[in-house]
Amino acid sequence: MLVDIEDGAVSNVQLRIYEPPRFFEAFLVGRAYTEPADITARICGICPVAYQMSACLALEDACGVRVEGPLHDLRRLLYCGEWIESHTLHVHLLHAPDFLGFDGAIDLAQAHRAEVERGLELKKIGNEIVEVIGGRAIHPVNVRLGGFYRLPTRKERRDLRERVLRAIDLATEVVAWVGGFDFPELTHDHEMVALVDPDRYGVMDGRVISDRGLDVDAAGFGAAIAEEQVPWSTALQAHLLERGNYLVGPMARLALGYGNLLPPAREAAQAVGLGPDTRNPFRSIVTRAVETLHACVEALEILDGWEEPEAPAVPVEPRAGEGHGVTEAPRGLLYHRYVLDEDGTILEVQITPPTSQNQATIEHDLFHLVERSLDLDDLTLQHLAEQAIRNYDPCISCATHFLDMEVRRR
Amino acid sequence: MRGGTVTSEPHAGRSSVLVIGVGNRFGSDDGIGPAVIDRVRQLCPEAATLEVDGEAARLVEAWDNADLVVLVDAVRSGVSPGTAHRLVIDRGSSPDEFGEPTGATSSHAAGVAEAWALGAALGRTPARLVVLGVEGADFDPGYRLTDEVARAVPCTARAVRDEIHAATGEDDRQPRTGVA
Repeated sequence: MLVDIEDGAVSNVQLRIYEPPRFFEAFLVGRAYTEPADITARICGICPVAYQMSACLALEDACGVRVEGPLHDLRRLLYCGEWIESHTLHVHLLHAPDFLGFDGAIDLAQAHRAEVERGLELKKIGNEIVEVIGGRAIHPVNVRLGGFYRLPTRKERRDLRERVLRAIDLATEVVAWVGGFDFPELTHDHEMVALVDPDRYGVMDGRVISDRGLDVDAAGFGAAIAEEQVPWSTALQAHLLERGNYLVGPMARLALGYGNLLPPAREAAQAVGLGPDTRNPFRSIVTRAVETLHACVEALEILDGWEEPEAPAVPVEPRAGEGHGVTEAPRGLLYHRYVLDEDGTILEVQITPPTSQNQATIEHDLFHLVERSLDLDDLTLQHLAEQAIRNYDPCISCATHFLDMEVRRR
Repeated sequence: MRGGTVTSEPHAGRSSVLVIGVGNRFGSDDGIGPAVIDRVRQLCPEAATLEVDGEAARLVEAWDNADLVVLVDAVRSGVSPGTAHRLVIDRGSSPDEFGEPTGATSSHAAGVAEAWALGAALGRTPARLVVLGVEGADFDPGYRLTDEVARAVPCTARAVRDEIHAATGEDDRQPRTGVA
């Protein structure tokens, strides 16, 4: 991160993000339409399911297939596992130390061992869902176009149900824990964009909606995104045509989908004063905890209502065309677009991850934060900047405890 | 089950040994850990092996209270690519040899150090951790190891085998340390 201060005023803030999707876009061109579901899972060790699901939806869209019913429900269950795992990791090991006055997870673990152990147990249950349904925790290999290679057995589902019941208890406690933190005052004024479905909290279904009038399907969202290469980052920065910077992720989802939180999650949110109008980025830790509880309850609902389909996947035959897919990765909207020829060879790929969508917004927040904090020394300023970045859980978050910040004062 | 992919559980009644390959196969030389794991699976099919991305909590879950963990990871310390590093850490110690992370692309080294410290704070470390590091040259996205690093794969896998044999008493050869 680079901060330029000239004559006592901030003139420039640049966040340099290193991001691999550009490589994968080029790598996938010329490959078969069946390959992205596995290959894109390797872009991120924390959110492989999100990459798989957006890839599958986009490629199935190109082939004129829509996966519904129990196979779609199983995908949502898999996605619940990833939300639980990713959010719980961020809440406990990255974000909570900021609010309790610790430098990082290790100091937190020494002082609050029971809470960290509870977090690790909850995260592990998320792992288990991803392993049982997805085949592996890090690069799930059981996902394919049209569905899965194998379906979970009755015993696996029964065992998982027991674990999910435990997860609901743990996640409920976590909401109460983080809801009691003290939050610095800050209000953002960004346009918030999320996947909104009339019937359920947006993860894989619905339309892309904003709080200022955007209302498009996946194809329309792709058409509205303008990606721009900025010289200081390998990540493209995305903004919306004629709209500008925007915010994706838990705060946007909560604002636009609050009414679809499952009752235990909504009640837990209300109990800690988290409403749909929350615009304090520091309270995103509570939002993540509430979404974790929602994912646990949804996982239970899916397991309880699930009936085994006749086949683990529906056929997806290739055809020439273009397809779009958008799903809610834990840190926000993840958009994929593929163009195929008639035998399914990939001709074009576009992958727009949440971090590149939020990057300009994060820079905007950092600019104003630094502007208000010019009297701080560089080290204190760095700590504050790290916290502000962690509010958005960008994919760089695992590196931002070691944020390499350069302040140039002239 | 644990995070990642355990191909086989340690044998009951014997010292539990786990081999972990840290890295990303699509991160060029960052893929050294997984590449060595592939070779170890051929050399020692009975060994419990695991491929992880280096995230600290996942490592703590994976190695929870094993007797020995042999961990293979890419290293970026500035020496010649392919150079071997070996670091032994016993439960109760807090080494400073991990060094400071040099940026996001080499955060796995930080991940192992953080995992050890986190595990220590929670009482969840293996009795002994042997880190076999291989100096990498290129950490940009890519699916091939650079030549020098690729040449280090077979001898690093043999070094892993020797560490296992030394710990389980199956072989009286001493662990090799100079695997470059």
